[in-house]
Amino acid sequence: MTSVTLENVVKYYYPAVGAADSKPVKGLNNINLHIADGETVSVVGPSGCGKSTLLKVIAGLEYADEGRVLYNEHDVTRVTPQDRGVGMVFQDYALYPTKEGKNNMSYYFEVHHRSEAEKEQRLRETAELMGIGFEMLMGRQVDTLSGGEKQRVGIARCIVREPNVFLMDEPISNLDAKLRERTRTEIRRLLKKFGITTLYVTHDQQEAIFMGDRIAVMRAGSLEQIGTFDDLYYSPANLFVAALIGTPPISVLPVELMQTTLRAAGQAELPLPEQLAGGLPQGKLRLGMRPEGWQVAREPQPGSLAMNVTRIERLFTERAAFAHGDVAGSPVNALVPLDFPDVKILYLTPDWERAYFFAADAETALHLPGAPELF
Amino acid sequence: MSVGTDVIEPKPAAQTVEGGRTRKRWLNWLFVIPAILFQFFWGWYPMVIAIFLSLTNAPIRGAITFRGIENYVRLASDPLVPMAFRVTLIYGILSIILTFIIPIITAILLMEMPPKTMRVMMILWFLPLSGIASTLFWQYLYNEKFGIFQYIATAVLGLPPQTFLSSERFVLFWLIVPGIIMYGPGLYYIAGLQGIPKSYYEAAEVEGAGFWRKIWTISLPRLRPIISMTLLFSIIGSLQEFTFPDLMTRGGPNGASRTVVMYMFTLLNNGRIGDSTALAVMLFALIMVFVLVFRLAFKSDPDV
Amino acid sequence: MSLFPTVGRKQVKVRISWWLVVAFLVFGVFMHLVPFYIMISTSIKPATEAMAMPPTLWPKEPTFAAWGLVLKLSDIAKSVLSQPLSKYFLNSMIMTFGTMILSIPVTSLAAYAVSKLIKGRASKNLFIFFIGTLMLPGIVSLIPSFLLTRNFPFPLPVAPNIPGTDVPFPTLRIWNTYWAVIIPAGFSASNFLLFKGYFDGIPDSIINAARVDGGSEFNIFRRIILPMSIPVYAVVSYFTFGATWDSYLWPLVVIQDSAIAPLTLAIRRISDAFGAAGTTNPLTAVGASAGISELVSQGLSWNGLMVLGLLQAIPTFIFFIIAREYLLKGVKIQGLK
Repeated sequence: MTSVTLENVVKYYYPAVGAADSKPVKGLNNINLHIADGETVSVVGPSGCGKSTLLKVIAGLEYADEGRVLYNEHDVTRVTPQDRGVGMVFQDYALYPTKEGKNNMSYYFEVHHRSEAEKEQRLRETAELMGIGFEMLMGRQVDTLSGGEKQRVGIARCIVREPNVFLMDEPISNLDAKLRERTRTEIRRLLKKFGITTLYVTHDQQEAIFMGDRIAVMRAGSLEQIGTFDDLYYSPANLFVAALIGTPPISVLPVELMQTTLRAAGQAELPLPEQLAGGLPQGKLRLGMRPEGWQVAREPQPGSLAMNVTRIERLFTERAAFAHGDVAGSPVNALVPLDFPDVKILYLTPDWERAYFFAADAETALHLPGAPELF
Repeated sequence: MSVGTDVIEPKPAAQTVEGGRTRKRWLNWLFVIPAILFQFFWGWYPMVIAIFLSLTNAPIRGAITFRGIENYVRLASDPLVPMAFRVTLIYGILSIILTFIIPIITAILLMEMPPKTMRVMMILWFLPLSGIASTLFWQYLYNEKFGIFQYIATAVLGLPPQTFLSSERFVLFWLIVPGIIMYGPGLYYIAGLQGIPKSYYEAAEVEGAGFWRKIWTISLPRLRPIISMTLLFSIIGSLQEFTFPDLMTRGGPNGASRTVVMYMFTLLNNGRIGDSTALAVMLFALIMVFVLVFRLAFKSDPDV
Repeated sequence: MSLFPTVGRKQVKVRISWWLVVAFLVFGVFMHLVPFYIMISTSIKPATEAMAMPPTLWPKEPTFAAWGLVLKLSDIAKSVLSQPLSKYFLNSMIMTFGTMILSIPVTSLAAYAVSKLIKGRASKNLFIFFIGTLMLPGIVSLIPSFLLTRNFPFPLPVAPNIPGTDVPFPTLRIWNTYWAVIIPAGFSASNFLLFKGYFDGIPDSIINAARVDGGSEFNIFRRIILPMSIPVYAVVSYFTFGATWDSYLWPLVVIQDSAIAPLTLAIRRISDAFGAAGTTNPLTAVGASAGISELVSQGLSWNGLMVLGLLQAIPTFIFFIIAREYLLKGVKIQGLK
């Protein structure tokens, strides 16, 4: 029953060897984050964005240079990881190679001088939780286990001690695709079952969306945005977030607003609803549209853009496909119904209800569609 | 296995975080403090004070007196000093030239053997033969009356009786011969070669590379840092040689195999401690010249 | 098999080269084993046969006389060796194990800290501090270290007075004791390099996992790192044993008392005495001391010296045999550097 809060956390790191007067760079730049008790927050971002550092600061493996880390109300900024009561799962499993699965799990109890009885009981309970066949893994030397088996032991080691907080650092990145699917479902099941506050770091967007109640997007040490999937998808804080979330990615077109007309990429002129045009600055802008935001036609329509199709990607789960191509050089993706096979040119009409607008030379979001009302 | 609906009543956390200890960074330094002390007092400190001591009489009894460069001057006019340097240089350079390449080649060739054979060979090759023991062994072999070498020279090759270790001209050569004959693969070379993926050689073969070409373009470049480090250490080591010549010839016929360090020891025994220290500093300077030339010549140095 | 062509293996030229390579390697192994053979066979030859020309391959009448004589050498010839051989052997053991017990923990803990516990510039500086001496000729510290053993920490014959008083600084004298060999070897730069290289290869995540689990850094080292590090400890122990057991120059400089002299110094004494006496011919041992003549007349010459050599060589040999698996494993780890 622990909430985790970060207040104005800054962490510096010194770039590697060489320059004697190398200025420190902010590995974490003023992070403010609150994870409610029982909530799972995924952290996603490009490599080097600081997500692992964030995890380490929360765990206590690294200390914040400025700011505070709080568990519930306790300031744990300078507390050793040993005393924070966290459980952690690592990308490379980080099992103790000379021990068996069982001893990997019981090491915690030995170090904290817990009773033999308590240790045995927790081991038993955890083995049950982890499912059939886990008992056998426990008896084996961990360097004989496969990747997936190792990760199961790693997860078990994490939960055997009933931690306050779960911290997971790309736990399934090293597994093969199929195993990844299975394991992430299992992890999600465990997280839901225990309701323990969790931070889940990954570079895989879909994984982040799957695991997290909320998703935090990081870039270059800063927290760009944190919110539910809908928040990030329909109300992204900036272009970066908009482009990161969503597969296939949002299409971004340079446009120019003149009065209430949008001139797109030197060709078509698209009339804008007055209300929309009124809220936007004149001049150069960028129009963002998700694949499902286009009305697609085979013939030119008034107010449509011509798209050169380079590739059609069938979606096997729906009767639809993605058309990949470009509009006057800018890459565009559109969702098309399946009966549009092998066309070279499509005509896209934007649905203004779903349009995003961004500044032309900055990432600022000027207009966001917001989550659609479904009913 | 239903998911989601059965949320377990959250238990109170197994540990609370009140009163968590803060990290004591200084504890980590306990790991290094003994080492720092030892390395300082027995590593750096003696090296640094050597210079100062060489300007004194460095006594073990009585008063210490400052002598300035008197010791160096005396050494410069001592004919045994340039002789010792000559011996040391010849010995050092000769031994490197004659014995440096073979361990590299042996290691490369050893890697060609099937694994089991290689293992057996490695174990046999690395069976330790104490250096001290081997001096007794080689003295025996070099014995002029009944040593095997004499036997080979006179009975087999029909030469007149050789003088081996008592030959002023050739004693250094004979001291180096054991290093040539008793060759073996270099341990670090083997380690380095094991890191080369087989696919490199396969790719080279597809391109038509022959035996020597593969060695030249794949094995050697990979070994380059190891070779250069080993060469540097060999130079530094062989110029400080003492044990082997001391036991074999005690300085050889009329100082023909007396290295600088051996003369240092002689001076020390004769109570000329200041001179001995100054001689050490001279040797140090000579070796550092070699090191610097080496570093300039071979720029790529990974470590320091 | 990477250098030999895979296709065309059966060609005559390739087969010849292959067998040449094999011959080269086998010859090398053979030459390495020959000394063992010669030493053993000579040690059980009677004295005269040991000096026979041409040398014989195997003793006609093997005898352990030389062994007996050597082991009782001090009884027979006090002037040559004042202590029983076993004493020198024991001294070597004490010095060697003493050094290992001190040096290996000190060096490995420091290497671990520099590798894993201390970060940033401090770590780099410590690293240079620890291995800088490897690049410098150590001989220059011979005399200063020797003087230090007499009046540590002053390389002076007499300690200076504490400024402002008449009282000299307290000093430590380890000269002419076992400590003179053990203490200066307390830290080994080359072993440090080996340890650090190995510890660098341990993934940080394992240590982080252990930190999250609990326990002090030292506990983590003891319970997690140590079991994982057996190969490097085996290799370092072996090298340290071999080097210290064989150490010659330094004991020569700092040990004066025969009672604590290691075996290497005893060998020097004996080989000196025999050399001076002229072991070429037992009958014309001119200027031989009474002790040597006595030994020679009892049948000791080169066979005895071979015995000595074997005594010096055997402990390291045994160590190697015991640890050989770990040593081979250690080499493989080195290869990953």
